[in-house]
Amino acid sequence: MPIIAVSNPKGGAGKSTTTLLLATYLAEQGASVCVLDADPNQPILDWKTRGESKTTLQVIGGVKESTLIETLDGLTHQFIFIDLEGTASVLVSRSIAMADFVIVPLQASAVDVRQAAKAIRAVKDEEKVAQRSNPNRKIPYRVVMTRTPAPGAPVSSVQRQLEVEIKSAGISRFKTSLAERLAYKAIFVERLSLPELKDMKVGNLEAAYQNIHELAEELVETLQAIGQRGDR
Amino acid sequence: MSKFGFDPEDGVVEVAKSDLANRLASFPPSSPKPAIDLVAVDAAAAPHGFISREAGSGRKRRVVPSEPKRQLSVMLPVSKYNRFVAYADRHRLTYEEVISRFLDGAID
Repeated sequence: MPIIAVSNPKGGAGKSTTTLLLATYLAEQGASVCVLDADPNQPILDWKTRGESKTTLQVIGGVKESTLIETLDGLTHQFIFIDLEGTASVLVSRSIAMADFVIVPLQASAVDVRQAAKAIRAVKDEEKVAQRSNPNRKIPYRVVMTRTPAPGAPVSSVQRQLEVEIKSAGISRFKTSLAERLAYKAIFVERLSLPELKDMKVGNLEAAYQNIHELAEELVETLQAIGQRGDR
Repeated sequence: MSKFGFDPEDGVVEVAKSDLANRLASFPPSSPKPAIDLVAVDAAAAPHGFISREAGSGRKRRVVPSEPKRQLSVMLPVSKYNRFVAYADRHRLTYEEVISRFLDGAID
């Protein structure tokens, strides 16, 4: 049921990687999942159409601001992800307005954070617009830190400072971060899902898999809580 | 067991998977959402720099009407007005084209 928009107007924040990892993981667990690839470069559509993954994940490309709502209305999947372009556009704001949940990936860099703040402000404003017709409507969001050092590796002072700022600003954040992993790059190179990389040398695949498992668990837990609160 | 630990007999991963799979089953399929006011949605996002990035179709050649035209002005409740404008926007139709479409589809 949930429509999950993955948004940060900054390019390279990890939107497509986060989307593909979560979507393929949930599909592997038996959920019906669709990704609307709204990135002009169509990285996930390319992954699906030119790769040989056996995933049940459906990918729809070529989504535009004028076709977004019709496309969403025609879907019957349990989970719909919208992988958004790395820019501020009407397509992004409309996707946020239609979403049940927004994931804002960001790396520990000042540029990423400032752009993420723009996405969060857009979420809050779209929520206000939606509340004019439905006072109970909420568009919850969470930030997910991407490309963080693997557990045990030194954490940069910039990241520590960012984590403190996110907390003090009251911004919702996933407890799980997506670590910098060779396997997360390899899924796009090989056009396979994480488990399908098992015969290739792509670093610590087991740790990469565990990382996305934890993030998916947290996402599902969050979505269940949203459903129970009736935010949608 | 494979070097990455993806052996089906690997208890840790399998237990977690089945638990998550059960929780996923509680999510119903998606269904169409209520119409949203696209004009208001776009207006709220514009101050943050969320503007249309799609190339327009360019300036259209002026169409010479094949028959004389008359003005039609209609007062509507806001909800109906929003539905009408959203429909026209979604289908990229002029208001006149929307009315024509509805009339063509109407049963006399």
